[in-house]
Amino acid sequence: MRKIIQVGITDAEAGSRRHILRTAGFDVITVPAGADPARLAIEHSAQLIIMEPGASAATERSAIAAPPGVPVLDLDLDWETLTERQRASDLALSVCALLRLNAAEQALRESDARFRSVADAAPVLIWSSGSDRLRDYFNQPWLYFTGRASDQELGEGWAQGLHPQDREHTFSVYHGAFDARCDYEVEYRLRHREGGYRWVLERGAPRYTPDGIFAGYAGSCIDITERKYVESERERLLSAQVAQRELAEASERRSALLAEISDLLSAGADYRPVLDALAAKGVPLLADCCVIDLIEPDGQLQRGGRACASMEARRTFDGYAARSGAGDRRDPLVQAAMAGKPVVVERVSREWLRQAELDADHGRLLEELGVHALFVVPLIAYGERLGAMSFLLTDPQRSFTPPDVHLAQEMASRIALGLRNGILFAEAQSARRQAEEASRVKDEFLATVSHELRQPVHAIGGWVRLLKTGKLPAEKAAHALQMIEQNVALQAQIVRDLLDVSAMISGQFYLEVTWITLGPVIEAAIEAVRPAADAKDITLGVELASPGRRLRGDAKRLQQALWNLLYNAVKFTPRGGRVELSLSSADDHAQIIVTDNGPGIDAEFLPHVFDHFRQQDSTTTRRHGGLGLGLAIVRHVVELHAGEVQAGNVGRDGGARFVVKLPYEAHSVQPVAVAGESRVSST
Amino acid sequence: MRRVLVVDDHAPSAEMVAEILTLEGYEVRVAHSASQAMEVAVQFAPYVVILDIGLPDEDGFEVARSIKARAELQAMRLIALSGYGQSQYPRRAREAGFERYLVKPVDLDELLALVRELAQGGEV
Repeated sequence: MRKIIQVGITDAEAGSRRHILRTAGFDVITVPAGADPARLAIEHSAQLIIMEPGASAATERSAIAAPPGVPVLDLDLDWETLTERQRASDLALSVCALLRLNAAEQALRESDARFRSVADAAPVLIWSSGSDRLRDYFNQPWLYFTGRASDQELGEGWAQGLHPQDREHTFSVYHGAFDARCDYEVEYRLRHREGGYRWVLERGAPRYTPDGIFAGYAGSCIDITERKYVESERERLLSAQVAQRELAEASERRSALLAEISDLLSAGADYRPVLDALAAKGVPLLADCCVIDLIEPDGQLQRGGRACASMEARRTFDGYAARSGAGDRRDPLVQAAMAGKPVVVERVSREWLRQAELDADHGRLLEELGVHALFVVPLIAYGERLGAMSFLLTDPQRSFTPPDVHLAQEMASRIALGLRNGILFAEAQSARRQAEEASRVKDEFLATVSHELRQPVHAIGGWVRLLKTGKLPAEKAAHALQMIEQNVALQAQIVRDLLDVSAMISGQFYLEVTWITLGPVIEAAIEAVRPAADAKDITLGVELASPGRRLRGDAKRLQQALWNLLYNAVKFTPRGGRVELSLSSADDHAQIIVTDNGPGIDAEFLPHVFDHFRQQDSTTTRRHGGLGLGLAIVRHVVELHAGEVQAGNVGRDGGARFVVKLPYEAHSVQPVAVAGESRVSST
Repeated sequence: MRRVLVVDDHAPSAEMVAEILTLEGYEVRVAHSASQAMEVAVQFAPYVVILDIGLPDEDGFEVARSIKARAELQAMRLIALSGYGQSQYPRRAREAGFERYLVKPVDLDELLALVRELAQGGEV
């Protein structure tokens, strides 16, 4: 048994050296520092003395008198010096080598451990690979990150955690750098222990042995998921912002456009001049040409407005409009659109033109303009179809999209609303004007009535008063009575006429129908009007043919009607004039014509001559008196007899002429009053 | 001041008023149109004129204005006597220079009292 004296035993290194030696088969006797090893060596017959570091300092070096043949290894000295000194002794050399190896191993282990503890404490993932490119080491953080064990990751096992989409790129970078022995950086996604991938930034650098031999790569990775997320968020926000801004701008443009259209429409109640401007809103925004077509009440198409991007196109359009004239024009595209859904033609080709059934002019127009695409949207408001708006594309570079059609529909609906409102407004205005006119006419009539009634009452009252005074001389008194009589009659007439017209209007005017002959009726009317004619020296001419022919009617009413015609004639004929009445007989009806040689009837007034409440003008009333109801009564009575009456003038400078036709046949005579406006035609 | 002109195109009315005034002792002339009225007014120089509004050639308001516009006729006192009862006529009459606006059928006592008042140079 070989024995070694170990001087200085306190530290762990000493302990491990002791352990190595004992394992190698030596018997190690330990002695604290300061003790005299020589004596012990002799005692135990040791072959070697080892002075642990610091031990020789504790012992006076010179005091160590090693027994002869016993080497002393002083570990305070470095290995080189030690080895040199002990060359003579094999035992010393081998123990030295052993210890040195042990020391080297220890150092390596220490270094390794230090590296590991640093590596494992680092906040980065660390790995290394050998010269065979395969990874041979992963630090704790790496393993913790991936949640895998070291042996799973070694070699290329770790690549199982590489995101499939990043594999190719990552390896290409790694191998490229490896081949070039240079540093690299690469980003890839690595699977995290909690599932899911996280982005890491890997930096790798070649490593060399102390001798300068390439040994592989060492790398570290940091988790850049946050950064990546922030980056992508920022990009997303940016593009969202851009999209939003574009949307807002488009929306603003649309609002502005629609507001402009509203302005145009509200500028005036008559929309027609504005249609060209409205069509222009569509050009060049949505198309190269825009046409607004409105449908007239009779279903006929009427071009409402048009706008073109180019003067040339405009000229073509106008030329076509001039050529096509006012014939019956229908447009199948407009008709189709008016059904409610837009008509969209993405390609206007020859075949399409052929089967679209457009009329020849229309098709030629589209060809001449070079229309390659078009869409038509309806103009509908309050459910009423007003027409359509057509958008034509002639520029070959240009196309349209569904949002374009949608905007066109919005434009069209706004325009249609405005048009309809404009139309409604115009209609309301017209209705109001008519109502005002009718009201005015009635007011005038009432004023006239009250005026006419007051006159006779005033006169009668006065004359009666005069008579009562008894102071009137005889012929004045007779005159008074005559005046009274006349005015009573006049007043009675007015009242009768008023009541008759009132009955007519309320549908309570009845005929008493029997078989009558016109001869006696006419004679009675003539006699009744004679006094008035005589007062103005007017001659009454009468011509009767077949006065005895029978017809169904109300003699009293017919007499009243004829009297009215005659009295009118007398009223309007100047002094000394002539009024004529003639009766003739046609196959199925009798005809009575009354003429005078007064001033005749104004052409403008002719259509209204039989209306209630109307006189030619209010001065006529004052000059001639009366209410102007006579002719209305005439018409009413004649029509109840299923006849007709027409008013006109005798030649150009002649007086008025009235023609009454009364059928002989019975069944058409109605006893019930019919109210209605004047439908009488004039000659 | 006893001269009165009666203007009315409705002859029975004009005559009747003229007769009544004559019986009261006035000197009366009658006219049946605006132009006639102006002629007689200038010639006859009445103090009071009873004027109908609804005349065939010109309405009574015009006649009144014409009269009031002429210096020599200024002093004439005008009474409107009309069959028109519209509410704005009294105001128009006043503006045209009438002393009073009467509506037919008139209370003849009232008319006579009015003429008496005016003929005496009084204000009404």
